[in-house]
Amino acid sequence: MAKNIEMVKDGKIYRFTKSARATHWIYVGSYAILLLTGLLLFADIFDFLAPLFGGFEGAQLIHRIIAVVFILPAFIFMLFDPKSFFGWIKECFTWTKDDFKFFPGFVKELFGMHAETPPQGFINGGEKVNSLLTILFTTLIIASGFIIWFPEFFSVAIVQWGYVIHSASMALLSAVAMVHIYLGTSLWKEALEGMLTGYTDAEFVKGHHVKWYNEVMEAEKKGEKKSS
Amino acid sequence: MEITMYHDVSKCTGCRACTVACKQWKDLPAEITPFTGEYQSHPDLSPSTYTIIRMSERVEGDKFHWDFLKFQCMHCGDAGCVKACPQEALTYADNGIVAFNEDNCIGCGYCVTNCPFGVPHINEATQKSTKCNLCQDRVAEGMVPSCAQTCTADAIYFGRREKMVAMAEARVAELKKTFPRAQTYGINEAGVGGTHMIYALEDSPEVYGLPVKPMVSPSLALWKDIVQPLGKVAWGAAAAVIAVSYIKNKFKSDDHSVDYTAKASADKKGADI
Repeated sequence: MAKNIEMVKDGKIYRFTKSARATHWIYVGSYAILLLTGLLLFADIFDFLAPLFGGFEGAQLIHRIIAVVFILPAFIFMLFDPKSFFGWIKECFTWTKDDFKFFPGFVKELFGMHAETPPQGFINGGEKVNSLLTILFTTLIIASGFIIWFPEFFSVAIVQWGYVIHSASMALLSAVAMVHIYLGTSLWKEALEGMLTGYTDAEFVKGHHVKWYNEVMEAEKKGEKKSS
Repeated sequence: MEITMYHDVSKCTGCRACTVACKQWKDLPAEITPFTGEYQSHPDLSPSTYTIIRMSERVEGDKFHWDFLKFQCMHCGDAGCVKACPQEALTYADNGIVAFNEDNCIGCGYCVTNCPFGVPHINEATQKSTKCNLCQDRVAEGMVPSCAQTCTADAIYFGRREKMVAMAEARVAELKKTFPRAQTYGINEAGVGGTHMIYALEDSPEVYGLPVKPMVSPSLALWKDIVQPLGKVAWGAAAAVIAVSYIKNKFKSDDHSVDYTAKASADKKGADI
């Protein structure tokens, strides 16, 4: 994280770096356009969207242009903020018992019931699943999309299966994204501010990510001691 | 009435009048192709060539063969292109023709990839697919397709399916006397639901560059019949969970709080970050 950024400020905790936020929103914007232009070929009921993109021909062109943008966020994040990027990747692949125990409580919380959940880290078990599925489906979408775009480099069978992978990954990623958006804007709406400004309400962090909260607070104490 | 075109390869002289007649009726430009040392002029179908004669020179023992095959859209009964097309540009006509409506075509190329015979080609200039439609306009007026009309050797027939099938089978029975491997092609090809372009061949299909067991890829059914409907089900399920969750949380009583400080698991391994 950048040096001159305060980790704790006005009862808020610095949660997402500028690179993390920028790449998140580039990803969201490009995925939204890819989804809308791609849906035209996924199901007839979305045909009414075609005029938005200058008809089907326009939609196909936009889909290809935005596809290039869609590939960028991962690399931008990796290049400009490797610490956060690899920290996130490491988090995703680090699973403790507490992460697994997140889920029973999460289902209860989702349906408004009382839940007791072990303390969670920087991202909770559910967010780890969200991250991993997003990484998986994004990779599959990009790989299969490349094959569909440049069929002349591949055997016919590979292109045929590319359509299946592209469609299936898109459908599943979109379902995951729907839940992610709901959680981030409604059930845990405090989380949205973090992705917009970088800072998240400290009480929310303490409530939902107490392990990480304690780490931040400990680091703050050490920092204060050093500077005094 | 189900129609079928029938090509008797044993009668074909490879004159290519069918290709010319097709271009005339369809108003397609000539394609000047380089001479490659063989009789094959046009190597493959293209956006401006909907039918070609495939020619091969073959020596078997001390016998020399010239194999001719009129190649074009097979008008499958179970066509990969029709299933793959997302815009209903490719449809089945009542008479069995796989019809093509250019106005609906968006040039996505799904038909190109999913045709087991490699027939459709995208015209890069118009961004539309192209293929033979068995002169649907002529057939609607009671005429035969222009290629069948013009055939100088009486090798191309067109008419009611039962009649064409009977002719092809009778011809193969006759051909078998000279060519033991003679067989019909397109009548019993179940992987594509039978075709409305059928052949009496003197030899096995691969001699003519035809797939021995033409088949629509199983990926197509998985994509269109499973992934696309189930994808919508997944969205519906996600939407339902969200709706129920939203309502439940809106009207929950206060004591249904969430406590994220339940006892942590004892394992120290992999503490966060």
